[in-house]
Amino acid sequence: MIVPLRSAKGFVASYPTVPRSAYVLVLLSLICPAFAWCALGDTVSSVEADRVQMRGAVRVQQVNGISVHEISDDHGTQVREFVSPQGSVFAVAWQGQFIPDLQQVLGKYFDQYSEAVRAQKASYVGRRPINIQLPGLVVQMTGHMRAYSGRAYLPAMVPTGVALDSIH
Amino acid sequence: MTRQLPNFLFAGILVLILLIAGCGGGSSSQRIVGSVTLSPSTAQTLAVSQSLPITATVANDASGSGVSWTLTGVGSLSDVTTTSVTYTAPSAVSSSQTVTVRATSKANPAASATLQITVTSGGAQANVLSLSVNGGPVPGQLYANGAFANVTLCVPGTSNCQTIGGVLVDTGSFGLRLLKSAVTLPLAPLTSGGSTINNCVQFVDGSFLWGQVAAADVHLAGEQASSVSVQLIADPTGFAIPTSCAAGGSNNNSLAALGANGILGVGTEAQDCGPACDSSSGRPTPPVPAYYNCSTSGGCQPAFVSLAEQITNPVVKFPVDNNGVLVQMQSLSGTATTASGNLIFGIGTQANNALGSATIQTLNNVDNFTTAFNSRTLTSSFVDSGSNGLFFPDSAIATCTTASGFFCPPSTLHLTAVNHGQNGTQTNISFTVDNAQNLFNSNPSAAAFSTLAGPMSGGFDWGLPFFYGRNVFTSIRGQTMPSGAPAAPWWAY
Repeated sequence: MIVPLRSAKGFVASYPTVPRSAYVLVLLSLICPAFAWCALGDTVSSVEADRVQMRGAVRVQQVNGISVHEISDDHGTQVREFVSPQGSVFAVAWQGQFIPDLQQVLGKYFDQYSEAVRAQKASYVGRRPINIQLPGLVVQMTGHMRAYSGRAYLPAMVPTGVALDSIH
Repeated sequence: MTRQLPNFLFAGILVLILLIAGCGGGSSSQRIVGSVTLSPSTAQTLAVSQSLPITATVANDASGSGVSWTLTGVGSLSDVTTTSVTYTAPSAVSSSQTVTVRATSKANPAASATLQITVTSGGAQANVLSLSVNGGPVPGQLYANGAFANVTLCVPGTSNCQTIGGVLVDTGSFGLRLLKSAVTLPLAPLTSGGSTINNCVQFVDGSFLWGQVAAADVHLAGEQASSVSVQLIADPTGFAIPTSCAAGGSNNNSLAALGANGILGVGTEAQDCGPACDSSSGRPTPPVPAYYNCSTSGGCQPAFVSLAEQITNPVVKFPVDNNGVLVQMQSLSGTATTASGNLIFGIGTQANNALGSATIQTLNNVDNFTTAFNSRTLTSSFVDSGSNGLFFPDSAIATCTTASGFFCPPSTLHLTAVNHGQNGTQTNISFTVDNAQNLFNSNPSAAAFSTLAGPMSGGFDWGLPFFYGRNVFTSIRGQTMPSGAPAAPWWAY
């Protein structure tokens, strides 16, 4: 399911999903020669690296200059990457039976996330959804077993006019 | 009398001949009617007025004549057929009594089987497990809004048992997970080929649990589940934890980190993973993080595991009261040092778990319903005793600086929301949000908070504060629901 950023308009392109193997080779050789394990805060090509890693299909829609790339993997986990007009991934959101590989999705922000998780866990005892609010990084998760969702965004890089509620 | 003697002798000789023919392993048509097997097969405990369905199977019963039933002791048998019967305990006993139900093959009266049932007198009921919001089992550490219970674990098929307290009751997960450090029983891990089966689960607090899967008999109050797959957290320590499991989260592999001796997941599903982790799913690779086969030679590799071997909600393995749970917490206004309640097994199966006037709200395909709040329609909303507050999106409420993950409004907020089931039912919920930091500072020895809440994106998480003063039913997918109720899963309250 594609959830529109703000309106239902602007569905632009659907990447071909077959032949998958040939497509992967092309991506590996041309778009991401370094095969970056990254997404958040990186350039748009990292979306393709994620797609390859997740062996999933990408769908793209554009609204008001923001493009939303949605990747679905074999296990139904959907990752949506929000790309600014300048080509930067300023937010990611996910939902599915399993939490996606956060090291891949959070990219260079993964270590910051990991440290914050441990710090938050230590402060007050009790199981609750994580809500990391750092000056440069927000990570929020929700859900229960078999139905997880979450999002991460870079507050300083969210383009003007994009409502935070639309990142999901 | 003298005329009957030759008949007995004749009959005895016939039986002997038949026995010899049977032992000789001839064709099945020559075998005599064999042994009788009962389900449940092991001794059971019932409270007064409780019922237990029993089924009998007769080996090689070509005539299909089945069994006849007899009862020795108090209580009664009803719904009698040649393959099944229902035993109902009397409405009162002065002290615990043991009764015997015997099934005797009609074709071969020499073959029979018995089931012993202990009927407990008043007081504690077999399907009622006490819950205590008592701060949890970690010395010097207060777990806010955690409902804890005792769980008894046994080596399968034996009376070698152990009771473990301080286990968090969680309607938001499925299956029993216990710290290996709290388990003293010799439980054998499940294996696949030469590998042991390990499990990983991640929670939305950024934590994960890693450990072997083992089979155990699980006793909760008087209910008994035989040979249930459970997770032994942080066992063994020899294998490197796969990166797809750890994923930068916190490893809740100790009492201090977990804040509990284990988690008892009694939510809406029978298994923690379900069809996605079964090889029949048709998926090209096993999903992660879920199950891994671990061996000293190959490390830990993602693996498919059958539904039967997956970590299982013990409730579905009870012979009775196996279609869901009722969490019944005391009313709580504000804050208290402790709070108490009951986890009652079964829905509409006993006098103490009737739905009554509760509103049933059915769920979508991923076990969520919809909460309308603040002009937003939150379609990923859920009820979860394992969340220690109410968590929802509201950017207008200040978050705490120290008590991370909670709301800290300058003054008390009185709010409302509407829950919508897929079946069109709706309920109006009023709730209160206090400043979490002030709550913690002003009540340093309190464990129960009815006004604890925090921010969450995407959905509304109706955690333990929602349960105070309510009867909250959680039904389990695939189980038989009471007459008139829709198919599970649903919540009702």
